[in-house]
Amino acid sequence: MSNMGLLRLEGIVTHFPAKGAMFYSETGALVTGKTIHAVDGVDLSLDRNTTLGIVGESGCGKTTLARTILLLIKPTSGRLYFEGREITNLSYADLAKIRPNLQMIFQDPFSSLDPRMRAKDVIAEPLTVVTNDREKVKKRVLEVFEQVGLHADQLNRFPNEFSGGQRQRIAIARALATRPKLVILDEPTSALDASIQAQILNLLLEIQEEYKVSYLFISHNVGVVRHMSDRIAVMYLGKVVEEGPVGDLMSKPRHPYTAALISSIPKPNPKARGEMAEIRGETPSPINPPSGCRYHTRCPFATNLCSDKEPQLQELESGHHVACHYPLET
Amino acid sequence: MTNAVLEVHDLSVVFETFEGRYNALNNINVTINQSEVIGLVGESGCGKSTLALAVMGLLPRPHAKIPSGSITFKGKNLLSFTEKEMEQIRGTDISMIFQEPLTSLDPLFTIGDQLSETIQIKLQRAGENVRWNSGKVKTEVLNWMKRVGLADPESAMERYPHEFSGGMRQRVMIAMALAAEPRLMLADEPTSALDVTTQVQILRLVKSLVSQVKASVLFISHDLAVVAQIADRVAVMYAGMMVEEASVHEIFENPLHPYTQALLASFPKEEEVKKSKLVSIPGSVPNIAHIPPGCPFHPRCSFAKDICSTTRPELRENSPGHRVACVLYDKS
Repeated sequence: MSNMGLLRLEGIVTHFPAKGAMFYSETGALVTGKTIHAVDGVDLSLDRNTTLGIVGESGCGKTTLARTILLLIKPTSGRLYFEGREITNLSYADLAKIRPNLQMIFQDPFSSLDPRMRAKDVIAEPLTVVTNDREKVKKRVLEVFEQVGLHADQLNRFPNEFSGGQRQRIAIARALATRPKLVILDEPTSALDASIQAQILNLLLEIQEEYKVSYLFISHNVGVVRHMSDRIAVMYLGKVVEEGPVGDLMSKPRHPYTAALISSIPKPNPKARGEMAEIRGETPSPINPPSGCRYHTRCPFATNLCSDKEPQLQELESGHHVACHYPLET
Repeated sequence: MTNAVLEVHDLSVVFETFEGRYNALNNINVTINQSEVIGLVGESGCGKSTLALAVMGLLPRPHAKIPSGSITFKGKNLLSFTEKEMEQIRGTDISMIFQEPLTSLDPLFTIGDQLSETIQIKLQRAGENVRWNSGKVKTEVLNWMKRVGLADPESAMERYPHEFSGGMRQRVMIAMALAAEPRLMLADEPTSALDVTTQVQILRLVKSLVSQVKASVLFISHDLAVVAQIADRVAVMYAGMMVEEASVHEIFENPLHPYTQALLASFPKEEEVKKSKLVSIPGSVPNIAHIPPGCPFHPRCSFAKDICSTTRPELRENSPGHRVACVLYDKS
């Protein structure tokens, strides 16, 4: 069943009630005035031992999508499959059995590690869900600790005794301890200095090589995502607007938003000045997303059709999906 | 007559705390010329912001001490100025914008009121006695709101900072910083909190307005790519020291200092094979409390020699306009 893929999302929708009036109706349902359409119908799939990069600007729903995949937030609708089995409505106990396979690494290693736990306890915690054998846990902790490039004599230290890069290594060790099949990385290097970023990216690549783990790599840094990913999905206001193999998508973007996003990355080359394209205006609010194509308010190619009818994600070339009425020519 | 707007000479800053003395800046030399944009790059804790605060006279007192150096602006040493004299300079001659505009705007006043204050002060310093709510001030406020690209300025004036997005707030900050047509603007990571698409808008705006009002800019950023887009000259800092300084083209085409070289090499590049190993700098950025002796970069440097751990290299001119602090380039 390897062709089933590791993870599949079907029409995942995650809405939140917006701040403001909230009350229970006569039938007991929670009624709210406004809704934040954080993730609004996402279909994606991820194979074993591959990396799917998710890019988009703040507020596009990247992080909500990650949390939904881990079922830290229950999706409003849609189905989630892990290794071919639907996990959307699993009971808490059944989920606990699957969770060791799904791990997450967060952006800020200063807030994602408990300041009162020693490094060894931070890493051992997820293992205690899997096994009661203390010797086994100890052995595994030491093994991953050294694998992420830390020294055994640092095991008893507290997080505040480590630098940012080292803390992120501890977070990686914690995620790896249970030998997960999928690790979700939410902006794993954004809080790190430039000279440390490359170290952590290299470490993640080594680990993937060894563990054959799949990554869902979320970042606003398109350059980093391009380097790390096999496929990329571009999100805009809760929707995937384009998805495809990294080479295709980066060199021949078909959605106007992808094209604009790619060209707005500053290049470390003073000769490439003025090549940055400017997207006019600002990202609309996810409380009141635009009708039709959500990008039409900022798109230079938009017509009436774009504001009336929502484009569906379609396959243009093999494996390259775009949600646009007028995809760019290559 | 030189056309230098700001000359920082041999500036050192020390923080004295209960835990000890920390050298935040060590003998910094930098000159900013008329209408020039200097990019100041470095990682967190390298002293970029300390330098900007020293120029503004905003270092936290009484902990910060300046044991040596001078900051010359318009021919006068700012370090000898009293607080009253500095107040006259801040906002009109030298202005500053920060990374997070929400914390630098007052949440209790409307955008219009905050801009009016700046413009009133500017007019007062020019000898015009105007009230903050006079028609003249309002006209100028609206004019500046248009110049920084705020849509519908009439109604935006009446709104509060929290009603604005990050990009719009940064536009307001830029309007406040440039409304007085300062000689020098210090920009401390002005686009780091913004999305890339907003970053492009803000960089363009800063560039065009700065050339209109003929201000010089000290543009602080941790992102070499952003600096490549906006700076004329680039200064690279590491652990409180300036390690290299050259024109923007020279820095990116012919970086000399091993730290600059490694930083540039560690960028994931477009043409690189996907998932290949990136060049990385071993170790971590030194804490200000434990700056290594000699060259602060020597424990992480792949070219380090014995002398690097004992002698601190000086920033010397290697070729015209290109200065580097590294023994590899010592000609003697």
